[in-house]
Amino acid sequence: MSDINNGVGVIDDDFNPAAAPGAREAAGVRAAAWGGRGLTVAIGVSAALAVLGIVLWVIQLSGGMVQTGMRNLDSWGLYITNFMFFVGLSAGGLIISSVPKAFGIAGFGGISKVAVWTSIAATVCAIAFVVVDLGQPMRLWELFAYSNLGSPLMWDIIVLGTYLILSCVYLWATLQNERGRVSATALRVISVVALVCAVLVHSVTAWIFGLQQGREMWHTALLAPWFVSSALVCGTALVAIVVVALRKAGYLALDQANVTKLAKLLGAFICVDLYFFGCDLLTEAFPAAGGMAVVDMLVSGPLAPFFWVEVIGCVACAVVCFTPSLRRPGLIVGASALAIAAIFCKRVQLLIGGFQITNLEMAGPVTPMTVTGWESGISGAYQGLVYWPTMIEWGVTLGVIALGALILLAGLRYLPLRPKQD
Amino acid sequence: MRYGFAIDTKRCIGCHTCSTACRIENNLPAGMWWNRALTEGGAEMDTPAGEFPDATMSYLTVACQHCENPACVKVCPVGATYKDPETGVVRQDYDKCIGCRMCMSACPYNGVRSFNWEEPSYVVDFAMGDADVPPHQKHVVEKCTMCWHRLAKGEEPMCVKTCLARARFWGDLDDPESEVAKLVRERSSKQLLADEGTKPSVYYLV
Amino acid sequence: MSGTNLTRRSFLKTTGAVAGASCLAAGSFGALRAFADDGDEKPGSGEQLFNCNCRSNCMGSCRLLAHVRDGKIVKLSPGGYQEPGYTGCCLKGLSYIERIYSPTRIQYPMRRVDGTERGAGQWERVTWDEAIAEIAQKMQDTIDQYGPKAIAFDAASGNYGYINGVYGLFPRLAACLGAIKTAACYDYAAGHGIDRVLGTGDWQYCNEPNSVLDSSMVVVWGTNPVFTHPHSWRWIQWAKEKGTKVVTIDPIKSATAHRSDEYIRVNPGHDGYLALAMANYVIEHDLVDWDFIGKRSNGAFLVRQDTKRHLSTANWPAESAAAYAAAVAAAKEKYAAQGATAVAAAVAAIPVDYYVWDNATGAITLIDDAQDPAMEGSFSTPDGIALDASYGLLKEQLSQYSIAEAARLTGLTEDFIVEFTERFAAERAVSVNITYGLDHFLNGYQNTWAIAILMALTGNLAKPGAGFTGVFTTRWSPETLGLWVTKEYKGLNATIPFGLMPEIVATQSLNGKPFPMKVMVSYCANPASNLGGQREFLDRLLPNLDYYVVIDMEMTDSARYADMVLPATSWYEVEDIRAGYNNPYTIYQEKAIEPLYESKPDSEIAYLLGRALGFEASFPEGDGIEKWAAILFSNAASKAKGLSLDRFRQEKVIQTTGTPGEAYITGMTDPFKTEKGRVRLYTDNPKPRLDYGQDLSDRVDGEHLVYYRDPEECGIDNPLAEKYPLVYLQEHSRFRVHTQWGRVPLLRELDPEPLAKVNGKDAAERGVTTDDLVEVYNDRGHCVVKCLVDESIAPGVVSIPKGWQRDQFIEGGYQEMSQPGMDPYPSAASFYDARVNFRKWEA
Repeated sequence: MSDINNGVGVIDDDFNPAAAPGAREAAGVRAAAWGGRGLTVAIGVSAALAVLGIVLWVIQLSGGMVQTGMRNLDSWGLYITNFMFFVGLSAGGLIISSVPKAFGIAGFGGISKVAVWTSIAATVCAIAFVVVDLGQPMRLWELFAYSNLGSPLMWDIIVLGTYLILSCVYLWATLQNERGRVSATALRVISVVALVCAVLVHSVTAWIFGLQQGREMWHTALLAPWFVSSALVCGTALVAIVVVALRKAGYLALDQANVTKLAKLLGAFICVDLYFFGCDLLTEAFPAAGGMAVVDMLVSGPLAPFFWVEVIGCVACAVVCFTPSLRRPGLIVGASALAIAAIFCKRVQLLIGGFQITNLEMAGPVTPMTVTGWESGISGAYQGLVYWPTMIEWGVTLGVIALGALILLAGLRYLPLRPKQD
Repeated sequence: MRYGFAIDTKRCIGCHTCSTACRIENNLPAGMWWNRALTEGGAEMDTPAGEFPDATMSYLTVACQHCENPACVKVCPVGATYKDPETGVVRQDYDKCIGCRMCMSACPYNGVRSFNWEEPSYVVDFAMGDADVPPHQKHVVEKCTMCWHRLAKGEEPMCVKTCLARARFWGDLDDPESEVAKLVRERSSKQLLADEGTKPSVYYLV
Repeated sequence: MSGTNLTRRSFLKTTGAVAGASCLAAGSFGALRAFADDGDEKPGSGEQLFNCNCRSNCMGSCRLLAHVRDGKIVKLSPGGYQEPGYTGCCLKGLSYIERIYSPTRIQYPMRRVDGTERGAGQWERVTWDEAIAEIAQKMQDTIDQYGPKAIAFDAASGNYGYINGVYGLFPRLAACLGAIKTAACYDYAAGHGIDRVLGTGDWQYCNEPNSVLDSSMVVVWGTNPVFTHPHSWRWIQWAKEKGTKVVTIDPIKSATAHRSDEYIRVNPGHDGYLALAMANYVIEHDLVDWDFIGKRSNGAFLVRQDTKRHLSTANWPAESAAAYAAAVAAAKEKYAAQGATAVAAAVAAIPVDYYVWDNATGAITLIDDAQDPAMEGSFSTPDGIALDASYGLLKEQLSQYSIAEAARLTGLTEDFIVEFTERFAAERAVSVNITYGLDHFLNGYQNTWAIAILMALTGNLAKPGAGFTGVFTTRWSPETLGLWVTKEYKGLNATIPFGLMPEIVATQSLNGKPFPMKVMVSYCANPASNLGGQREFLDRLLPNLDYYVVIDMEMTDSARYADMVLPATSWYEVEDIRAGYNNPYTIYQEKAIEPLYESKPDSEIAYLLGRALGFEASFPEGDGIEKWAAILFSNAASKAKGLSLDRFRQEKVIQTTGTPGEAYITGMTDPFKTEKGRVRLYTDNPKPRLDYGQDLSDRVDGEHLVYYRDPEECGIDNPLAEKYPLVYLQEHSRFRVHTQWGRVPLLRELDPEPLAKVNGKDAAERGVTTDDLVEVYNDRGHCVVKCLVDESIAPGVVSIPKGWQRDQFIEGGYQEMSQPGMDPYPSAASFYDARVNFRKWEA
């Protein structure tokens, strides 16, 4: 369906080569101005929330990060959780869009530009989440002046930056290809590079956690492939939601078969993800030794709600995806949302889980800087969840997400992202 | 040189004198402890494991282990935490630290690294401790410096100086004639989280 | 003696090297402390060092160097002693800086706002002149109406400086007024009991801490040095490393018990019986050290059946008795002007000799002339006075104490007690390490008396490595009496124990006779917090006291309830001198910083008050440390050691007891100050520690021979156990000394709040667990605290660590439930002799 075409929605019967540029322009203007008041309001709200997020971030920096729920024993929280999550969303989105091009197979009906743009918005969010988590964001420049190239965090900065640029290049290349300025082969090459980069981005993000031998739950070789599979799940689900919503809003036309394709792919990715999860659980549980702490924490401990939401959510989503009678747009959107929530829960399990189990169980002095629930001493700290976000963290998070939404919506309004019309 | 510690757990009585001396010497802000006396026993400080009267209790003092193969140094994106090649001390450059707290995630010795979650606050309105201690900064990570400012003057770390039980020994582990090397050679000892492969420079004599 | 000729330079040199030469047992701890650098801290950049010391009642007396930068103390470091084994400091001493600069420090004199309740916290600032004038006026009015004894000066143990501490200048003022200087009553039972045997008075019963290196066994009995006197523990640990066996006897498995080779768990309050049963066993099974008993005890001294006193030259034969009486009369006449203490000393100095029955001659002879003195048996003088040998009397007395009953009372098995006794008796040299766990019961002195008898019978006294340790006190004293007695001396009434004050103030009577008591000044004391049975202070003493002045650094419980609060200086803001506990030194305190805010040294406050009350002659202008030190060092003991303020200023630390490189052993280094220097198996003249007019006539006959007495409340047979099944201990904590250091922020990070420590079984029975709020209560009062399940605590015991003030509890206060009663012999606080229960607390 998505033939690579040389124009943007030019009506053929008035073909006048001389007039073509002007008409094209007119059409572009029309595309750029898509969306009515609803979109305007949404853009406005996103902008406002993003500004609010920035204000809260400034408050966080000036009043101190003590205003968050993070402390010495749980030194990462909602921001890094979302960082993982949004890298996953972005990588997934890009993979979905670039795989067909890379392998020269039928895609999903020209949604790749929207998918890439969604992915770019998510990438911006991911980077923003790292920035708001930093204690000294004004020293960001040091990352480029004093880079420790051996650090997984450094790798992630490099790869994420590259990835962001590459995503933009890919989008540009796609547009140029549609206008006949970039060859199919070149586009294919770029899409392969983008694909590799997307896989790398999430692998490197995984390595931030997976290479740390100090945290039982994190230190597994499986983490990188697993992050990729989780990324595919939530990325695909996000793309599905976005395109179905845009189709409803009249932004693009999308054959239901493509949606079905997406759904089946989502289901398959869920199966792979759950398979990885099962492998990890079994590996932790089987020796009935140290790893049991992780399993207990997930299945019946403080993280149980997140564990079960993920498992049940993923299974439910897969059922919808594989059952033809259930593959209705509304249900697909619902199931996709569930999948996204499930993957978010997975990120929470991983982040908090890394801190929930301590290597040094011995009781010692506990101050307000050690954990937020310090009054109960060391044993009290680990009885419930060792970490829970505060209002300011929710606020800043909302602000970053709003920024992503702003980028997405503004792109939908002003950029030529719609599938090429036949 | 490889500076390290030997701590005699038979002598250590978990009195927190070393932690307090460190706290004052380094002018640590409220709520921050670079060194902590931990109770090997029950769920709370100074309680034993088991049931009365067969309950057992002992103490470990834990600060940065100044590992030979430090997990933290590997992951710091800007090299703010680094191992001094001459002495083996794992150091922290407050001015470079961007506050990403990757080192805190990487270090397996939970709790030895502290982050200044707010503007450092103090009980008194002047700097306590040694004048050569670098001032503390909000939103950067800190940990035991092995009293680098004292090593620079040819003095031993403050915790070693003040241990009232004479349980703390410090010196060059690479010098076979040093007291610390001899103790590690001649006495049974254990290391914390030895399986992690971080090769800590702290030996607990048992 | 020449060991005191240290020059400043040689002292500040590498103390490590000095130690190597003088250390006790070759190659012991000298080799165990080798630092990369040795000796004291050098001043850092911009720093000046001052020689200082800690002066609380913690058994430490550490020498500290204050590092001062820009007029502020920025850190404290341990200052070396000539014997480096004594060098050290603890977290409390080091964190004293946070007390000096604490926002909770009292800054200026404050008066309770007229019309407001005591304790309501309504204060108005006054100037020193106003404060002193008001206090002087109140005192003068009181004196005019009721006489000077209606004013009490109350000190406890807050500061042991000779100039600004409990001894300081307030007793001089009390003496000028003829007011009451209450006698402290903390920790006096232990000494009283031991004095019955060793004659060592209130405080001088212990060997030097390093003596444990020569012990084959150390028995830590009712004390917890790992928490409360770690500098003592250090020596015990070194001994342990060299092979000394360390045994702890305690109702709970203290931190020390955890570090010992053996832990012996006993029910609280019955230790005396255990020691007596052991002593009996020693006699019955012929394990007595006859060499010691024969040569060093009064076992052969004859006791008159008529007077229960030893047959001595003071009372027989008639001519000798008459001569003695005349000597006494002469002494009284000669020294009457100098006061009762001087008279008593003179009388005590009259030589008396003692008689025994010599089996070789079949006659009564003086002890030194006898060839084969009888240890047992009844005899009589030629003129028909019936006599018994002391040892025989003791043996008969002890025969009633059985292993079976000891087992029942303590909870130990009979087999164990037998085995332990045999071990104890067979040991080469046993040190019994005590402080005041055994002391804090109404039968406290009987506990330590019994242990002292056991040690005498097994010969564990007066030889290397044997005897009591734990509270080694100076054997040199300055001329404190001289500091207090001036030309305006009216009377130093120092025999009323503070523990009686609630009763006295509430009833305005003592011993049934009217005794107006209207004004009290507390200095170096916090009685509202620390007196047993706190409600006595709050409900009986306070409401009936007209005027209460408290001098302190912080708003303690006592200060809160005062009418006038005066800010005192910290230890670092004055010049002072203190004799060490548990080390043989006397340490000089340089003034490191200026007094903060409007605080004044205690000595200056006494001076101002003294002058305001008209005693300019006793508190002359220009009076200061030079004059006071001159008095303090004017006695023979000080002159013999060549002590002077100048010398202290130069040398900072001077060894004033014992000899460098040796261990001071009570009864060996110096003879026992007993009859003929022999330990008392029978106590000739048992006297109460304080004579405040109490009638002991019905008890005195029973005080010659050691005996067992049940504790007042906490014993296993006490009917109170039904209602209050748990014994209430208030273990001493490493984070506080009594209530001192109770508000230091960094210490509070380590120990944030009061806790009721209970055993898991007792907690489960009451449906509570760690972190639950519980109410601990008895008929005397209650408190609400967080519970901590702690398996170091035995079932049947609740321990709330000491030193919290009332505002640190959710409700009530932990001191409410403790025991306020005292035995009139030692007049010693008996805190732990109490029973409580606890339950989950709903708000």
